Amino acid sequence: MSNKRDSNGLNGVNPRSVSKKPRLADKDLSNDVHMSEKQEPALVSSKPPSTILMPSSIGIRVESTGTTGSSVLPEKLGESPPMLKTSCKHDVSLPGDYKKEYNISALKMPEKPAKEYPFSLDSFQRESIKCLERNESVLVAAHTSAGKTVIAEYAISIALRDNQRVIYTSPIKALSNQKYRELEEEFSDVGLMTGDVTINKNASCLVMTTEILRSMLYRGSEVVREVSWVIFDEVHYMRDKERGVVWEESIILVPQNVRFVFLSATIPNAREFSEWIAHLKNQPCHTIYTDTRPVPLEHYLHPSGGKGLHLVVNSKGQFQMDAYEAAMRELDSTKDREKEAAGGIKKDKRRRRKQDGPGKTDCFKVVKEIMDRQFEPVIVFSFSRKDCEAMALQMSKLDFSSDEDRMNIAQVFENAVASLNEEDQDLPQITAIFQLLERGIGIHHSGLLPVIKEVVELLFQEGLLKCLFATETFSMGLNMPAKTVVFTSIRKFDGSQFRKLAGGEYVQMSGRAGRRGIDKRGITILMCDEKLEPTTARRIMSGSAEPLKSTFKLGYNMLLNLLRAEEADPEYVIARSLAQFQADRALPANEQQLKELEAERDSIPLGGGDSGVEEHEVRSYFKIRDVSEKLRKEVRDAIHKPSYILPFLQEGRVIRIREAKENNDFGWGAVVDCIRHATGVTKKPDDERYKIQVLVRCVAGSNRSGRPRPYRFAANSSSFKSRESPKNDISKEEWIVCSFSIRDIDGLSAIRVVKHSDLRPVENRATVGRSVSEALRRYPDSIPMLDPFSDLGITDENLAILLKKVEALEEAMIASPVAKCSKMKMLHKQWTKRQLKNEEIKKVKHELKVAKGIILKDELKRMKRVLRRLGFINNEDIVEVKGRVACEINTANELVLTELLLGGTLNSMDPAVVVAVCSCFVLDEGKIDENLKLEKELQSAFDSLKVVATRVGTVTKESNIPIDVDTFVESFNPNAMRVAYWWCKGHSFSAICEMADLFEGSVIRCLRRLEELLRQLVAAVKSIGNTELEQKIEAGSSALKRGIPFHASLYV
Amino acid sequence: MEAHKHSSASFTILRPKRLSDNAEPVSRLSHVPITSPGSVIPTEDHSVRARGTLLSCGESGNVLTATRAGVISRVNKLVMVMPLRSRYIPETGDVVVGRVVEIANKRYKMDVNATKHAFLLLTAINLPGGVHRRRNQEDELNMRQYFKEGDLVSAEVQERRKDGSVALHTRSLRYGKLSAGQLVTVQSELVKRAKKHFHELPCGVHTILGNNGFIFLSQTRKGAISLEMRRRIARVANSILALDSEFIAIGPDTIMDVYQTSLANGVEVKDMCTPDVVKSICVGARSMREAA
Repeated sequence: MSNKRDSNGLNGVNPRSVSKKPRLADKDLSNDVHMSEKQEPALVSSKPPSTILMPSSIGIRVESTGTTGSSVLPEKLGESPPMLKTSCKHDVSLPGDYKKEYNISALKMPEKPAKEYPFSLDSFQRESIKCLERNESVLVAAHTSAGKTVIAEYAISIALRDNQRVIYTSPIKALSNQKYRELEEEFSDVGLMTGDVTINKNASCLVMTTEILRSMLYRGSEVVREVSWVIFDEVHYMRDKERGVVWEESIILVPQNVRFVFLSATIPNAREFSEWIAHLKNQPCHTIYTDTRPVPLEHYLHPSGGKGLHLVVNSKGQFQMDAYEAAMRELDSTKDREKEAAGGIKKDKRRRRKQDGPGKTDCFKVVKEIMDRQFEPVIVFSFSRKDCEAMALQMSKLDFSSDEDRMNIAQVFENAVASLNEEDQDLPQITAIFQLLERGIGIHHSGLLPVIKEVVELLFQEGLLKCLFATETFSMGLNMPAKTVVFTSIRKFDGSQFRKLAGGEYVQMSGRAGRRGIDKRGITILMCDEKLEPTTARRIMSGSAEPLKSTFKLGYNMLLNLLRAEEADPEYVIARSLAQFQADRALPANEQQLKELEAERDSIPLGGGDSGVEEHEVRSYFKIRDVSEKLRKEVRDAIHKPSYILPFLQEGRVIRIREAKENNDFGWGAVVDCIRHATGVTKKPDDERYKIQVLVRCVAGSNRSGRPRPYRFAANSSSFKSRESPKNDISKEEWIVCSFSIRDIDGLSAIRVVKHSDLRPVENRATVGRSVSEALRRYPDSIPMLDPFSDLGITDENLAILLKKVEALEEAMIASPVAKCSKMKMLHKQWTKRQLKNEEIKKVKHELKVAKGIILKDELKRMKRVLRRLGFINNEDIVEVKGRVACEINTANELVLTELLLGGTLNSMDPAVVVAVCSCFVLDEGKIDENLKLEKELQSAFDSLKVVATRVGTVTKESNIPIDVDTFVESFNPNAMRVAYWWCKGHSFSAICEMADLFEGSVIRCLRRLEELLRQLVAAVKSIGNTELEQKIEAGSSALKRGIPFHASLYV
Repeated sequence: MEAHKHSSASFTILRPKRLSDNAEPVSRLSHVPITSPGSVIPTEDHSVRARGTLLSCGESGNVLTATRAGVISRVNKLVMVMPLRSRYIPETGDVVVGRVVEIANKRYKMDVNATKHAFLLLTAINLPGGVHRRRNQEDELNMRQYFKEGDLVSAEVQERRKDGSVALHTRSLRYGKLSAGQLVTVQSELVKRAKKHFHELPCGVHTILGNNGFIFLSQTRKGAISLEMRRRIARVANSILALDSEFIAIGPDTIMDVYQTSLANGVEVKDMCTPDVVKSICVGARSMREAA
């Protein structure tokens, strides 16, 4: 879908050219009707040939001229700017059995609107309101600043007018607080429910987090019965791997007669989502899509070390190739300079220097320039909280505040801080941030104390902060625009790796640029320290959002809650999930693809013809060959265990190195050193704990830019015989010391060479290299290898069997007529081609399995097996006592907690220790601190937790759910145990913050989640009727609930 | 720390060394761990006590005694006593049949055979026809339009509140007012929790097996009830009562076994209540079951 839009250049930048063509992408499933075209009468009759009644849909495009009421005029452009026209696409998805004809253009604005606005509405807002007035669900996909709130407010007004209730959900507690404040001012009959606070829960309009809505739905709360509208804000959050499923569950569980308002960032498959809703809830669902921005954006590039800004994408969305190239040239020249400066220093050191050396001044320069050009206020996004603070501190020399501002800032700050108790007012974070705020500089990230975060938000909204350093979280939620947005990096760490910014993320964050009605254009600056392909740059900057993909997964709490209710079974939820819907839709295409692939595979010839061998012979030959390769690898792994080969990895031992992952064959080299890693808490497999330094032959100079490349070998050569290929110039080789893991060892020779004591000079290394070559030359046929039995002393019987097997297979291979075939190479090529196709076929088959619900059903079966084995449910899937306990717990691992609770270990613990143990369940950041010294009782409590976790992990694994037991056990992080313990014992907040390497904000979040968990535990213990334990947990909870962590939000 | 050991919040259950006369170790009595109120329950270290037990100070430290007569049940370190006969103990998700006894304060008070009346909030019922509730006073005034005192209502247990009261709700349109049928009350222990509680028996009788021991029988189809159907319902009702008096678990299978046996033996509906007949048909049903 996105392709089509891209090819039309439809990123909300040039609606004029667009308006001529209907730009409705997925035509195959819809009968899109352009406004001017005649509507087809039989709209609903054309159903796709699927077993399920799929929704059909119709749509129009609506355009309107500038109605924003703001002075959005082009600065110097001769032509009318794109913003004078706002355009939106309006579709309606009808459920499969919808019998009435639907005329979308006949929708009328209400004569007496439920809510009136002082400004005239944009076209997409008017379209949405028309749908709401018809009492139909609507999905609005638009940019952050476009004004989606208007639609939410209108839906609330309708509900209030009709004496019905409405629920507003947002993904984050902090956002709920802000929203509550905003709506409370508007409607007054508003309540708030988050894990932390509950205000006025009988109100008609309830603001809550999605998690709360879900638990209300499971409990069958009466609120759900009265609700007529549910508003899901930021519904694209459904992509989130961890929490996305909560949205899906909630949407599935909401009663059929409720209407929805979904507010989302621009997602290309918005229509698919609406169709899912139409299908799921059997009601029409409208899609209103607009990608126009109220304020046009200009995208600049700032190459690191460069002289200035380059306008790469102008406000009309045109990519400026020459400016882009100029920027890249500047980047190149700085790189060269750096290279010269860095000289021979090892690459990792250099990179570090590059990062915090010139990078710092870069950011400083950019901000300075922004201030000089009066582009403030500016938000500087960085992707790490530490960077964020460091950059803000660099700015502390500057002062952006006027005297009046300074006074205002001080007053706001003091008012906010005054609500804290005296001790907390002196927290280092509070005193430190004030000095920055005074100068008009702010910081906003999740590590800050909530009260500081809120003060920063308030000050920024008032325009008192000129420069705000923030992380990605600031890009969500309330309207807090700036004139300029700066990205300090194009890479972010997403939990597993550093990757380039995705277009969608860029869109979301750059959405903060440009204040409606104040700025003529918004400015985004991308600071770039590495070379970017023009396509990548374009992809990021023109920001096509990623499609919404379901992240549905099953959870034990969900399973138990469903099993316990009469006839609401988990399969019901699975079958209705968006994941299943998306898979269903892909089903015909996948089946077709499978057929094609199979045909393609079968069309590849294999043997026969002039090769002189039959197909089945070829097949069996290569099958044997594959098996023998596999066995060889097994043999290698068996031999190359650290315990066997470590004694032989002395200096000068000639070994063969091959990195299987990168397929880098370094050939033979000499061992220089063998280092054992410190045994970290993060357990590594045995063979990764060692690093061996080996002198290997590489391409000369290749170590200067990244990892050295091996000097070219002819493939599959096991000796040096074939090295003299004419193309390779001998002089280009260089012997370099690299480090490898034991896995990379491919062969262990019986030879040792003399190692020079100082390997730093190139000549010395070359000498050793020469002796390696010389040694090998003496054995032209085969290098003497260490014998696994007599030399290495392996007594493993399996190895002998393995070796015999390999031998037998090799004989079979030699015996095959294929081995003698002259066209061996061609046959091999054919075979690999077929194998590749087979891989593809496997993938498609997996997709098909997903589509048929087999995968999830299997998973469900396995999870039920776990529950049965642990005694949570019985053989008839009836929830037992243990299951009832686990039903109450949904903020942490319910299985382990229940086992812990019923294991009796908590009995003898002090309440504070119980709280500390629970902290392991809620802390979700940071690696386990290796040097953590726990108090004796905490250590023993943690040990018993680990025992329980290991048991649960083992049972899970034995039920065929692929998990690593060790990783599972390590997911319980003891870092915050001392913090929680001493906090319960009455230590001050500043004292406990020093106990762990955690941000203050993280500590607070952890304690708050802890309190929520304890509340659930109380309910769980109550369900088994143990008053002693209940009292103990309540005692822990009340000891916990004090001071600044539970200080109410300023918004509330 | 010393103080903690004695506080009730932190305890360790010790295996009693000497047992008093009236508290014989239950485990020695038979393989079924049955206990009676006041008996000491043998425990291991770190036991977690649950319902039906009481922690009291014995001669040598704390001992666990039973507060109910019933079977001792152990899950992990959890020790509880499941009563053999008691009033209904509600659990979340149970299907119950109850009788409206009082209407007040936006709620229907219902007799569900528990120790307390359960309550069904006005906001927790589905309005006829699935109409959306509007928040106004009229509904409260018109509460008797939906259910009156004496009405039978099927519902689901929503939750046990903190104060021990029980909230019901009618989750879907399948729940609601029951009419044109017969209520049979049995001991609640005999109705086991199952995946399904709404059954259509092969003989055309619709049963709602309430976990609280209230079983409602009615005709599957709507409309006038024929004499034959009345007889069938009566036979099912008597079969259930027979199972109750013989203390056999009540489910669609067991009901139908007794039903078929009584038919096969040519027992008239009216004769199904005499103790001899009850015994004989239940024995017959059991052998039929075992043969199957």
